[in-house]
This record gives sequence, structure tokens and C-alpha cells, in this order.
Amino acid sequence: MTTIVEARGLTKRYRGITAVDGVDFQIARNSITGLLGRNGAGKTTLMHLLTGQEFATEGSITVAGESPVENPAVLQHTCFIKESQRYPDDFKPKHVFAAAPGFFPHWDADFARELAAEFRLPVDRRIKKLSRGQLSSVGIIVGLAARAPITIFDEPYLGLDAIARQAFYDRLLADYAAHPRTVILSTHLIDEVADLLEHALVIDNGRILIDSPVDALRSHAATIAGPAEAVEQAVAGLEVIHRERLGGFVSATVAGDTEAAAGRARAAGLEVGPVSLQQLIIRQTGGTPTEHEEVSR
Amino acid sequence: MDDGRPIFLQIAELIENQVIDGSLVEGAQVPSINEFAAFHRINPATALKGITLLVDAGVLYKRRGIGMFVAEGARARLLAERRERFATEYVQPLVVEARALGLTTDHLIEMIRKGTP
Amino acid sequence: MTTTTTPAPLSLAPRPLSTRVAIVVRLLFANPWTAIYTPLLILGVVFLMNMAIWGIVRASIPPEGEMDASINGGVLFLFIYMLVVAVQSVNQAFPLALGYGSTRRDFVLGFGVFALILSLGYSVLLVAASLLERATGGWGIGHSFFTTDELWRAEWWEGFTLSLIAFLLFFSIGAATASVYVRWKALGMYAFWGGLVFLGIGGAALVTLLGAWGQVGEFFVWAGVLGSAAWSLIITALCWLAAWAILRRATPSQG
Repeated sequence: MTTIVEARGLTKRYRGITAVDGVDFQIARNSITGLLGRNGAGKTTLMHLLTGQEFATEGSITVAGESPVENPAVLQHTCFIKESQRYPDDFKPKHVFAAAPGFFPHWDADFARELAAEFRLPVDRRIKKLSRGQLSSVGIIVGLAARAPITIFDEPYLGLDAIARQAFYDRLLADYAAHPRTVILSTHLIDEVADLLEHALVIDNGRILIDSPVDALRSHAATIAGPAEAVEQAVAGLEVIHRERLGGFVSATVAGDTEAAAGRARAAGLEVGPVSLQQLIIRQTGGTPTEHEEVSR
Repeated sequence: MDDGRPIFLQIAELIENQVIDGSLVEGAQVPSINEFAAFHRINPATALKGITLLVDAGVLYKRRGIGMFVAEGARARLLAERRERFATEYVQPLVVEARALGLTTDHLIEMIRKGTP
Repeated sequence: MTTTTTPAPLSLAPRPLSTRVAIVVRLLFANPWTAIYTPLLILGVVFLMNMAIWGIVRASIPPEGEMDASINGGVLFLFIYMLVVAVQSVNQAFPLALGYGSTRRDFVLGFGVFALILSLGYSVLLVAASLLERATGGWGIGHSFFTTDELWRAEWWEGFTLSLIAFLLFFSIGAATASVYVRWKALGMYAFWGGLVFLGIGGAALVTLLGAWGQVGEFFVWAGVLGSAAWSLIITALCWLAAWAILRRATPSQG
């Protein structure tokens, strides 16, 4: 496994707000990595730092061993699709697709056309007049057809319905399989993308909370439920990240090496259930909903 | 697909099931990694991990440049393995639950007889 | 992934600067209506309307009333229009180009080439139209639309140079203004216009205080039209430097 992105002590502060707080992580080349976390956690800032659009306050981030800031050698390989991407006012999707091949040497125009048809994008309508979902599909089409070695999607599907999102996932998987590349997918729709991801980076309050292969995450958490006493016995010695009580009944979410505990619990007649990636992250990030705006904006 | 276990294990088990129930016969070619990934909507690396597990276990074998095939004798081996696991994974919990409900072993045997067509 | 062979490492040889700049130029020209078709169309319509009005006016005055060169502001709008094009291009294309992997330097250079191409193109067009106008005796009806002042009646290259310098000035003012907005958003705009008004009033007050308006006038007379235009190149250059200095630390997410 080759490392393509590496952050060391990466910090970004805006007038007193620490958006990214001394993070260290690596991203493997030609993998799909999920950058997960709630709004305002620092995901967008992190991606801006990764593409040299923001300047780090402290620490460093490198892509292929080099700083991305004003570095054409690195940036020629990147494609960053933003949730809130603005386009020139008088642009139509066809103008975006006409300009894109210059930026992306691996651009596949036929693929772009195919995707535009699949997403029912009116390529000859002013972008300003497109619906939110259609606007999102412009970004998705560019991100996929660009075939950039480092492709970054930041919440790319605002306004897209479940069917269109599924089409995006399917296309992403198929094209990724045919043309391996490094994909970083930032999203809060965690359960939808969980199976697509090889690796998960969970960020909260500017810090990396979880940095793990998704497979390992799944086997490292479980819910054990049953009579309080039996449950407490079964989970003894394990990290309990969440506990719900209903009378004498307890449901505990445990993290760590849960295999043995799950076996014990089953033998004791307790209920053992899976924890979805989303549940796990909700538990780990505190679980209370907030109305933060993305800090970087 | 989600029962809480790593997906590559679930993929491996799925293929094993197909070998056991005969929908994948010995010597037959299995779908490619990318086909598995697309069908189950999972990361190709995950599918690869599942397949590798089966290759290492001798259930599948690779033919360079052609694809992946079901090994000779794979079904018999898998069956033997599954039968062994049956005791720990099904019979033991069954007995535990039966005890909790106050059923004796005789009761249990009786019920199994009745429940089997 | 599906193969066990390690992929070839990413090439870290950047594409040549000319390619990177050309990409930005291509982005800015992606919709040719913005900077070419629409302004030409408007110019054409204004010209035809002008001709029609001139025709009516001319028919209503006695033939012995010799035609006077009508000083016409019809082409002036082109300069203002290009200023708006500059503002919009920098404001809207900058974040897009950055997202697609351009560096800030590539973008500023690309925008410079874009401005130069348009300035040259429109200057050639205006001079050619002016020459044609004079050759046809004002389109056969003594109308003067492109030949807007005495200078244009001089050598063709003088008109060309003046036009080119003026276009470049308008582009650079637009680029500098937009870059302030891109970097500091509305707050930057208030400070920018506030500062400009302050400088303008302050400068005028200073000149008045020194009783130097006469000298200012003398300067322009001394420099001549073309000379004054040449002096504006300093402003143009300063605007470009400012745009570059501001954009090189600008981030698309600021504001």
C-alpha cells in the first residue's frame, strides 16, 4: 500500500476558531476513503488544505510527497468537487464539459455524455436555472469523467434523490474498478456509503476521531442487550461507548475487540447485534444534534 | 448485506453457500472481483479480500489472465467444515435457549422430530 | 486493488506553463457569448440604430448644412462592458479553476492572456471599422460612429494604440476590483471603495489647496491624448500587481 496523502500536525485557525486541530493521518493510494463527520467538523477545511486552496496555520500536508500549495505538479492530478461549487453566471453545463478536458488529461467525453443522459441533465440550460439536484449532477459528472488520480467529492449530492444517489454510487464503483484512483468522499450520509469505503476518517471538532479500515470498524463494535446484570458481566473490560436502559433491560454498545465478548454474550442468551458505521460514529461524536454551520464558510 | 460482520467475510460465505448448494459447481468460473463489487455495491478491495480468503482456503483457484474457478473437492471440504461449525453455532445456542425456557433435552429431541418433515 | 501489481507512481513533472495558462484561457472563453458574441451583438444593434437616427436627422436638415463629425459615445460601452467581463471572470472563474487544479499563478496569467487577446481583438475591430467608415465617407451617408474624435482621424496606429491601452486599463481595473472581492468579500469592497473615494477627494482637495489645477491641465495638454494614455499604463501595471498580490493568498472559501 502506497501513501498518497500525509498530514502531520495539520492545523488551520480562522480568527480564533480552530477548524482543523493538529491532525495526523495518511491516505492510501488508489483507495476510497470516507471523510466522515458532522457539519462544521472540519471536513471541508481539510479538503481545501489538501488541494492547496487553504494555507495551513501549522503543520503540513503533502500529496505524493509534495506540498499542494501553488504546486502544479501535484494539482494537475487533483479534481475537487465541492458541494457549493459556483460556476460563471452565464455558463451552461456544456461549457463546463468543454473546459474540463484541459484541466483533466484523462477526461472521457463519451463517459460525460453518458452520465449526463443518465442523470437527465439539460446540458444546454443555464446553470443558474438548474435545480439543486441538477447542479449537483454537474459536479458528479465532472468528478467521474475527469478520472483524476486524486478525486475529492465534498457532499456531492445535495438535492439528489435516493435513485440518483444510488446511480452515483454504482457509477463511482464501476469506474473506480475499471480506472483505479484515489477517491476521497466526504459525506454525512454514512450508512449509504459505508460499503463503498475501504477506509474511514472520522473528524469531529477539527480532530481525527477514527482512522481505520471500515472492515475493522465493523468487527470492532457490537450492541449487547439483555438483563442489566448479564449485560454488564458480558461487557466487563470493554469500552462501552453507549448505554441505554429500560427498566432492568440494558442495551450497551461496545467498542474494541468485541468478538470474544459477543461469543460470551450469545452463550449467556443475550442479544448481540451489529452496529452500523453511522451509529458507531454518532456514538463516538457525542450524539447530540447541533446546528453548526460549516466553520470554513 | 449487513449482519455486523466484516463484509469480506460475508462475501466469502456467500460464495461458499453457492458452492455448497450447487449453484457454483466445481470447475466453474466465478464472477470477477469487479463484478462482485458492482453487484453487491461494495468496494472492490473488500471483494478481493473475500475472494482471497477462499483462494487461501483452497475453495477457489486463480488461473492467470483467465479468472477464478471453484476447486475440485471444494464442496466436500466446505460441507465437512460447516457440519463441524453447526454444533457450536446452532446446536449450542439452541440448547441454551431451551434450558432458559425450561425444556429438557428429551423435550428438545421430541420437538426436532415433530418439526422435521 | 484487483491486481497485485503496484501502479506506476504519479508523475510529478508539471505540465508546461503555456499549457496551464492555455487551460485557463480556454475556461474563460468556454462560453463565447460572454466576452465576444454579446458585446458584438450590442455594438451592432447600437450602430444600426445610430445609423437610422443619423439618416433621419440628415434627411431633415438642408443639404447645404455641412455634416459635422458627431462625437459619439456608442463604442465607449465596449470598454465598460469589458470591465464587467473582467470583474465577473475573476470573481466566478477563479474558485472554479482552483477546484479543477489550477494554481493561482496559472489563473492570473491565464486571465492576463484572456484580457490581452480581447484587447487586441477589439482594438483591431474598432480601427478597422473606423478605417472603413472613413473610406466609405461615413457609410455613404456621412455618419461617424467609430471615428469618435480627432485622434481617430490621425494615423491608424495611433487609434489602435489608444484603444489597446484603454482596454487593458479597463481590464486591469476590473481584475483588481474583483480580486479584492474574492479575497475579502463585502468587507473588502467597502474598504476598497471607501479608500478610493477618500483618495479621489483627498487628491482633488490637495490640488485645489495648492492651486495646481492649471498645472494638472497643462500636464494633459503637454502629454497629449496618446501621452496621457501611455501614462495610464502605470495604473494598469499597478492594478495587475495588486490583483496578483491579492489573489496569491486568496482562498475560495473565505468570506
